[in-house]
Amino acid sequence: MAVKRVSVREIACARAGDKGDVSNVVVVPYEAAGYEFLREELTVERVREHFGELVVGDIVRYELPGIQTLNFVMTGALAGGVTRSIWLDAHGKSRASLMLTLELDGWPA
Amino acid sequence: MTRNSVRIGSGSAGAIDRVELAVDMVRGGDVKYLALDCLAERTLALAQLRKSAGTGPGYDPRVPAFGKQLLPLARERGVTVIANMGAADPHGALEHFQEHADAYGLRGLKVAVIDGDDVLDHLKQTDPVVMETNRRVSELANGIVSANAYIGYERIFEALADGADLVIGGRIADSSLFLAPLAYELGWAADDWDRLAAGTCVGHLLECGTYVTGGNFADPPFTTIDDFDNPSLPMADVSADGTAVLRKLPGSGGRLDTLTCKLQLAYEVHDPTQHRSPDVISNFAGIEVSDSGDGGVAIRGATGTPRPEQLKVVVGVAEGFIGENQISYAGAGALDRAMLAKGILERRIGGLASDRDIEEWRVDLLGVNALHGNRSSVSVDAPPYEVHVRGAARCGDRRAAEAVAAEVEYLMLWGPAGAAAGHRARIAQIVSAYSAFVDRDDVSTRLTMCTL
Repeated sequence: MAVKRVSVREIACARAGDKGDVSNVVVVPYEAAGYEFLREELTVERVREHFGELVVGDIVRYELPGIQTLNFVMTGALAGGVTRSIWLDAHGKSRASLMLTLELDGWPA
Repeated sequence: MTRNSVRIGSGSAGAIDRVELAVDMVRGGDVKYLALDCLAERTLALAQLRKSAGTGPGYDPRVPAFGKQLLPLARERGVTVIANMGAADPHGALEHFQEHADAYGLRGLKVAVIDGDDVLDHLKQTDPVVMETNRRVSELANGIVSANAYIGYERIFEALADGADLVIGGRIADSSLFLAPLAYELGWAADDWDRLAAGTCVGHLLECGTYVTGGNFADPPFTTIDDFDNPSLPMADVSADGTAVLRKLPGSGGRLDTLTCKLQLAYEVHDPTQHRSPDVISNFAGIEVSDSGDGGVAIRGATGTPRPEQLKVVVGVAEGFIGENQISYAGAGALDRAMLAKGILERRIGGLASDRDIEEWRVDLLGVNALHGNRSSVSVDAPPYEVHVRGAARCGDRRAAEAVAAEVEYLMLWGPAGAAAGHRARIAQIVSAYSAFVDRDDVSTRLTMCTL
């Protein structure tokens, strides 16, 4: 089977939320096949590499199989949280867009 | 007598939402209850600061607008309104409505006020550990402004049983505002954890308002919204068995479908198998969403286990001031000039930091790396036409924050060519939100009923 490299944005949408210094990025694929692919390929290791120094603490990936959704919970990710961060995007809402730029190999061409 | 189903609507998703959307929901939603979430993490601390400084009310500044535009219509339509609009001063909000009852046409309205979420005195006595610092509350370096426990649905339930037309509270948990009318109308027992979790899930989907009806969603060409000019808050038809159908107003724009619901379900949830609220520990992992066949989205499958024995407390701490400002460059070489300006600023602010009370500072290039720092993609083929240089610092005192902002502006006089100073300095007090836990039994909430 021919495969190609895709950005997460081509196969899923994402939304970022914040609670204190914890950022969570929800990734929802458009189709069921996307869920299995993302479970395999969009690993904590890949996400950690992609987010780099933006996340100081742990990254945990939770699965919601009933709605084919992955939830990445990142600790120490918002420079102290919205109430004290001096970053322009103190809520980290744009972190969803960062997740969508991540590229993965092996999507059916 | 309990019902088989009830329709509830969302009227606000935080302190900045538009009152007109709540009015639209009452006018066009045929809802029996309207619940308004008015608080984010630090909203309450900011309200407490306003109240103590005498610069504004301790309740939601939209209270007069609710009184003028929303509550008379809700009364006319027989819609019960539930809101944490009281923020740091629920009784102050009541007093406002009492004072203006005739002007607003609210004479005779039955109002419930819930308080007791303010646990500042208790916290000072018991001195619990702060989650973020792993140290005790008394070891927080700066002054505590407020401490409020997230309280649950029970007092609202009582207020509804007492016939309240309007329920005003402070730090009532967002989802509890929605769960209360469901439990009351549908006859859910206080230990029916699966149904309380189902109601909490509905509240979770409704509490962020337009986030489930097309807000924060469009990313063309992959996800699109037909009509941005005609938003609708969401509403839900909830059945006694806990299943629900989410809807938006007939004729509204935006988008409500399985995708927008899925995206919102895990929003600001951590472990989906143990989502904690004051009312229940919910398991969202097995939730299913499907097209209801009549324009809505059906939600089912949340389960629950007994509520936590401890309540989360949001502790507001005044931690100095943020100072920030921007200066802008355009045209050929804009990025080079912005980089030059960035270097000047870094040396100047770095110099200030040696003898001023500056805890942390940064210089960003808007249009280049302000949102994602070094993780920003460098694969752009053409340099940006405009670049905005932003200097920002967290400072112990206002004067240091002002000095940082002034350094940015000074680039107009001593810096690269073509500096446009279209921004104005922003100096703002920082109220950080920390969290701690207290025993549920140590939080004594109160319900006061009165007729306007």
